This record gives sequence, C-alpha cells and structure tokens, in this order.
Amino acid sequence: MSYDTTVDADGDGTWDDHTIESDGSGGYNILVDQNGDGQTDFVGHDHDGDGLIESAEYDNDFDGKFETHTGDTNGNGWQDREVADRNHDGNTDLAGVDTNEDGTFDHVVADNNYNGRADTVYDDRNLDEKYDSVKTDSDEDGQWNTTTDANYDGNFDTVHYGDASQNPYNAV
Amino acid sequence: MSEFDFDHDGSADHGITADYSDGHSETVVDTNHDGFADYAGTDADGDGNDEVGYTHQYGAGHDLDTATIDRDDDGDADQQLGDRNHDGRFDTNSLDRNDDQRVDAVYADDNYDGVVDHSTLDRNFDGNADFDAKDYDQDGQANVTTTDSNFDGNYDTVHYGDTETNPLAGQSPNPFANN
Repeated sequence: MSYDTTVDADGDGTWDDHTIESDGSGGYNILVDQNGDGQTDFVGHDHDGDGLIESAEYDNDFDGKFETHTGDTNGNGWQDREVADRNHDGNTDLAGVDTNEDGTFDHVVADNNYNGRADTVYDDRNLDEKYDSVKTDSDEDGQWNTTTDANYDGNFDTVHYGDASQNPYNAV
Repeated sequence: MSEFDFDHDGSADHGITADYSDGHSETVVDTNHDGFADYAGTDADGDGNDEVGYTHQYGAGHDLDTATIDRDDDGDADQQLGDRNHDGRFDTNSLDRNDDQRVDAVYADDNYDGVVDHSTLDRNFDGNADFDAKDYDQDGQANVTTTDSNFDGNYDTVHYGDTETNPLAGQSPNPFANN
C-alpha cells in the first residue's frame, strides 16, 4: 500500500501520528490516538483515496465510544460540520459548524439535558478558537441567558439575563 | 430614582433672614424650636431663591449634613451633597441633570475614604435607575456593573469588569466535558 496522508485530528496545527488501514472498498481509514492512551479516538475516512478525509468519527470525551461524526462540506479536507450523540441514546444532541476551518467549531448548538430540545449555544464570535459566548435556556421557555467574554481576554465577564424568571436582579 | 427639594419652613416665627447691603441674604430656621438650626440657606443674588440650603438628613444629632443646591438659580434644586457619617466630608453627590425635578445620577463614597466607589444612573431619565457600578476595591475598575439594558425597570445584565474579582474568570466551556 503506497497510500499516505497527513491528519490533524484536534485542529491544533500539528500533524498527528496515525495508522492507515484499507476500508475494503478502495478508500482508507486513518486512525489517531489523540490523547495517547493507546486507544483510537479518531477515525478519518478517505473514501476515494485522494488523500483528503471526507468524513470522520471522533471520541471527544475519550470514553471508547465514537459519539461525534464530522464532515467536509467543501472538499478541502477540513472537517467543518459536526453532529454528535454524546449520551449514545441514538439521538443527535449537538451540532456545530467550523466556519473558518480553524479546527474549532465556532457555532455549536447543544441539547445538554438530552430531551430533544436545544438548550445551549456555544459561540466563538471572534474566531480565536475559544468560546466567548454561551447562551442557555435551561428551563426551555424560549428565553435565553447569555454569558459572554466581552473583551475577548479569555475570561467570561458578563451575564445577560434574558429570562426574567431566572433574573436574580428582577424587581430589585 | 427620587426627588429632592429645599426643605424648610421659612415663616417668620421659625426663622431669621439677614439681608445684606450687597444684595445677598442668609436664612436660618429652627423649625421645631429646639435651639438647633434645621435649615441654613444663602441667596447670593437676592432674588428670593436660595442657591444653597443646608439641612440635617442623616442619623442622629443636628449636623447640617446635607447641602441642596440650585445651580441654575431657577428655584428648583438640582444637586444634593450629603455627609452621611458626619466626618465633615461630603460622601454622596446626587444630581438632576435634566432639570426634571428627579434625581438621575448618584455618586457615592460608601466606605468614606474620600474616593467615589459607587455610581448609580438613570441614563434615559425615566425615573428608574438603570446603571449601577461598584468599585469596592477601588483600583479604578468597577468590580460589578449592573444595567437595565431594555429600560423596563429591572436590572438584567451584570458585568464583572475587574479580572481580580471576576467570579466567571477561568471558565472554559466544553460541550464534551461532562458526558
């Protein structure tokens, strides 16, 4: 097998050591152990053998189960969409997009209580690969509270209570 | 927020007014006849309106701890300075910036060290406070700023502007952290 490719599974800008195996239908699977625990936690799929990974499976929480599926929507090899079933109940509970393909999904919608409704939105508004806005609707009444890093210094510093029922300053 | 006004009964049986040849007058009033002045005011231009009046507003005793000021001499008070702890220094400054007879800005030195550490504003002049900033460690960065962003009468946003005391500092959300 003369096939090889490069892979940066976690998007940190460093190529990862990897293992290649044939997928049995003309393509290849690229296996990476991101955290060095001896277990594969990333499997990239190069279905046409052109050296670019079209889709991938991630075990982002390193529990031995691949809960996240990613895709490359523009054919450049970068995984720019993700969906995940973090609790392995068969239902998608997270979806994200990496708009600038920097390796961080900069807009992520999640169902953190796994009831089938989105309740949290993570955003990297300035695309510096750190989330600086988290919107939550924990009681799922359609009113959202937003925690932000207003000055992008890496620390959240502002909370806007858009849900009047959860506003501790209400009527003060 | 609140209202302020010159607070005295200047009727003849309670007060004394001294008129001076330069046109200004000074009034001292002992409303309750206890021997202590309850009001002392100055009318610098003799137009009948005191520009500054001193009263007792805070705590026990008879200190004239509050100065009510009519800065534009239109007969309505538009600033009030208070010495809440009677240490001889004003520690609150309340303003009526748009002359609607309502307080719309208050700057206070809550720990009485001579430096303003607490500001409250009614930014849209609707009578409700909608901005409150406290710099309790007095490093020049407000520790907590609360605002009423939609002016509905309820504070709804809190901003921690001082990294040293920001309770949210160090949080790094990860959608995959707790599965």
